[in-house]
Amino acid sequence: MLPPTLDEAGVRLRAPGDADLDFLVAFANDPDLRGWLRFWQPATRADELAWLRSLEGNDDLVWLIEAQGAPVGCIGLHEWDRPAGTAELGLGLLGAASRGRGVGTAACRVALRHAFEDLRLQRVHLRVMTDNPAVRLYERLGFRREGTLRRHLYKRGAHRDLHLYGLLREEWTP
Amino acid sequence: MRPAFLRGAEVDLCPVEPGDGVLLDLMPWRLPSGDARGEAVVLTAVGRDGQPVGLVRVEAIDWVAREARLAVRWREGRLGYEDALALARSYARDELGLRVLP
Repeated sequence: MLPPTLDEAGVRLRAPGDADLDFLVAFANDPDLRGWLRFWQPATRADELAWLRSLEGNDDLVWLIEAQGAPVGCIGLHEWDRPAGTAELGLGLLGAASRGRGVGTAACRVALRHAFEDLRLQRVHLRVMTDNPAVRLYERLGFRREGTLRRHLYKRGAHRDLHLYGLLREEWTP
Repeated sequence: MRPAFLRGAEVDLCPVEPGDGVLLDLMPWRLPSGDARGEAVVLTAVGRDGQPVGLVRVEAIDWVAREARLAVRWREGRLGYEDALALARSYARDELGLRVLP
């Protein structure tokens, strides 16, 4: 599903396209980012192109995050349950320079506003490694920790736990 | 500049791309970089000049026994062979949780 372009709060969220292929390949293969996300296999340009095409035919809403006119990351709503009105939030920022500047927070605010106000979702949830600094970002946004998925990933030489966070529409404050 | 999947001192290991076909006479391994069952991962070693210098494969992955083997095909005379092996070993150990068999 192609998402609408959202231009708010100093960031622009837009649908990724073929012209973004170089960025998407770098994003999908980045060794530092991979330490925090579920990816573990290398992704070729053909893989990324196939993934782009798949977005046109599935429920996932994926945006490229642009800050000051340049792509810095991706954010998306996945794992949709349409009758329940729920989806899972996923966020990744490429490069240390893109982190710690409020870009992730702004992108989440924009995506959550769209989720709750435009799409009228009941709940957005996410899974995050327990030692991921982004935990603080999600808690600032109002996400509540609902549980821990023990040994859910193998990353950086060890089995890692994931926290499950959830945010209900009445808990969301724009 | 190719994106690095694994960054090393002398070479980076990158996803296999069609342009790496120059190496196929050295290694008739199946492309692309991985396979759907997750039993092999293939990476191209790229030197500091941006040229592919070899291919590295984490193969015979056994997810039950948690072990795998490494295979390397290398262009004669190019630097980085040991670096590439070390990168692939650390990937197998730290990202896949696999013991690399000798």
